[in-house]
Amino acid sequence: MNRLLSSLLAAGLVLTAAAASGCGRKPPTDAEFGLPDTSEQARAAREGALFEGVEAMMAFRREQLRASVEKSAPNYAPIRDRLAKAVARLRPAPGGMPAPQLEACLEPLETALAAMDQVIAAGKTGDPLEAAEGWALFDQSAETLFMMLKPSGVEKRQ
Amino acid sequence: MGPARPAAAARARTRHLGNRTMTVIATKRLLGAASLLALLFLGAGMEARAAEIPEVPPPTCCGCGATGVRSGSGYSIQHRPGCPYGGGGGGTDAGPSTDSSERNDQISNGECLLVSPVITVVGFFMGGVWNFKQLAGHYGNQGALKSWWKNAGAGSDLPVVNFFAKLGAFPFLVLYPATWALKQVGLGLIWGGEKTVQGVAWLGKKTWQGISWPPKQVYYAFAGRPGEKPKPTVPQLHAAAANYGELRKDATRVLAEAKESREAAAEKRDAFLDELIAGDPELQKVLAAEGREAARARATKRLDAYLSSYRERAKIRGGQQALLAEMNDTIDKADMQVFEDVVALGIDKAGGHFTDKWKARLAGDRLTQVERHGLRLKLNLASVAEATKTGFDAGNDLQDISASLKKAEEGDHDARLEAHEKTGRMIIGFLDRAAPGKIGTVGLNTMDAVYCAAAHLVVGNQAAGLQGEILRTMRPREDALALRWAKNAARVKAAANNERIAGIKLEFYSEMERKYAKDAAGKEGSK
Repeated sequence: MNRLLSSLLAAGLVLTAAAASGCGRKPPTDAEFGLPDTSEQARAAREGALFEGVEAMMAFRREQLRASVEKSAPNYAPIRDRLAKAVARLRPAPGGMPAPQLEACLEPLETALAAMDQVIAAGKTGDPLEAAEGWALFDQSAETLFMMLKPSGVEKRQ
Repeated sequence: MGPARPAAAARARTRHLGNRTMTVIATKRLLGAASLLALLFLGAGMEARAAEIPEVPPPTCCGCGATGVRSGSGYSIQHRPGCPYGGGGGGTDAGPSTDSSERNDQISNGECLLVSPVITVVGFFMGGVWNFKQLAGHYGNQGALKSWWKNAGAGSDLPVVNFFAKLGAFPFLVLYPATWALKQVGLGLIWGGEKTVQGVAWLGKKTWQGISWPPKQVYYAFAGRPGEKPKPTVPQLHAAAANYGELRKDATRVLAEAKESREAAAEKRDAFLDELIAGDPELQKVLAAEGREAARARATKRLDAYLSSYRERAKIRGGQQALLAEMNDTIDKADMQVFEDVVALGIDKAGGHFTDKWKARLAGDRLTQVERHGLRLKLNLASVAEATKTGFDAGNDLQDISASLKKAEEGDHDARLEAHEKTGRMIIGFLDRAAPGKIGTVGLNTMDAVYCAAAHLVVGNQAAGLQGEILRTMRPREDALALRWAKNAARVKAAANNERIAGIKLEFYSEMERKYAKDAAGKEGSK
């Protein structure tokens, strides 16, 4: 009887071990958990997106200058698209955690995008005041961004 | 008796041979039945053994040595001539052979009675075979009685044999209903056994599944509930905490920067307000009487009012500018039309083929109302020019108008008005010269041109009035202040917004860092 009980117990343990190893809950991967990708490639992609965004902001300002000098209508639409794409590339995946350097730069880029929208809308309605406000917001965003870019990211590239 | 003796001897020999033949036949039949029984009861494996039994050699006549030939169920011997057992006497052998078969039947029936028990026993076995085959459906859909009659027993030409064989097989006919019922019962038992085995197998399978597969609660304990996020590992929790720690540091820096930025913007705004206060006697009085904050508050109020006013006027100006653009567009088109008319008129005056062309086009029926009207106007003007034949210096006037239009294109509004007026005057003067003599003929036609010129002038004047209105409503100093104020206020607003967002994020990141650090510590402690 004792032998039967011990056999049953051993069989139960074997079954439990099999269930634990086969059906056991596996921990999530880093990406599933939402940790930002810290690989060199991902970091380079984020930096690329950042510089793309900064370039778009510079192009926005340059287009305004060109239009005022040449007395022609500015064409902001393609520049705005560039900035929007850069912001989309920088944004973390839904449910994911933002990467530290990335998150600091995302905010001014987003406000710059909103400022661009305001300037473009003001240009369509011909409201110089709205446009001036939009430009003020844009300058503020640019200032914040360049203050953010001061540490590691820029220094590393240099 | 001489010839009769050998014939009798031959008959005796033949009888002897017939007896032997019958014995052989009976033996063969018994052996055949036995081998059939053996086949049925012992299986197909015995078939080979049965085939190995040597065949009985055909009978041979001891008088002439002729060998028997198989005929039906027995053998017949064709004796040679001179054979004392039927070959001699020239054709006498045909009679004895026929008689011998009749005698054979009589003899065989008699002798069959002797072996009837054996035949009955064989019939019994054959009845068993029939019963078995009938139950197995070997005879198709025949009725049991008919099938028994046709297939049970020996199937011999001899009625005696058939009788005893049927007699032996009869019990199986009687037993057939019982065996049929037994068969059905057996089939039912087999079906039931099969189903029982299947059920037991299913039950066993389910039981094994129940034993071998843990219940859902146990499964969930291991693998988690469906849709539940898997639990992260301790290193992952640490990594998350570190990530949020970095974010918190960044957010702290961003918050500090945003605060500085807001303060800088506020300083700039205050400096602008102080500049306004310094340049305004009324605000100076407030500054002296109530202090700087009150003066700034008053200045802010005033700048807000300027901004509000500018905003309202900008809305109106937007509408006015749109109207002005529309009018300018109309005037531009009219200018071009009149200019073309006059140029064409001058050209036509020199040549004349244009008028023909216009007339031809006017005669066509594919013109719109506007095109028709334009052509009529051109032709009327040409006809007026033709009618007057004065020394009208179209070239000079055209040159003058052209110069004015060029200036107007460069943005000179006055030159544009001048061009309108010159064009109008030219047309009206043109008509003045045409009217005295030809008033009756050209009066109605020229009315179109007069109306056209007058409309041009009126639109031009309206546009000029609108432009003047815009200029009159401008308040340069206040508007400039309003724009600077708007920019300053926007910067402060944007900086304050950035600071607010940075504060919210800092709080969130700190909380997340704490949470993940706590989770990691908890998981480490539970190990």
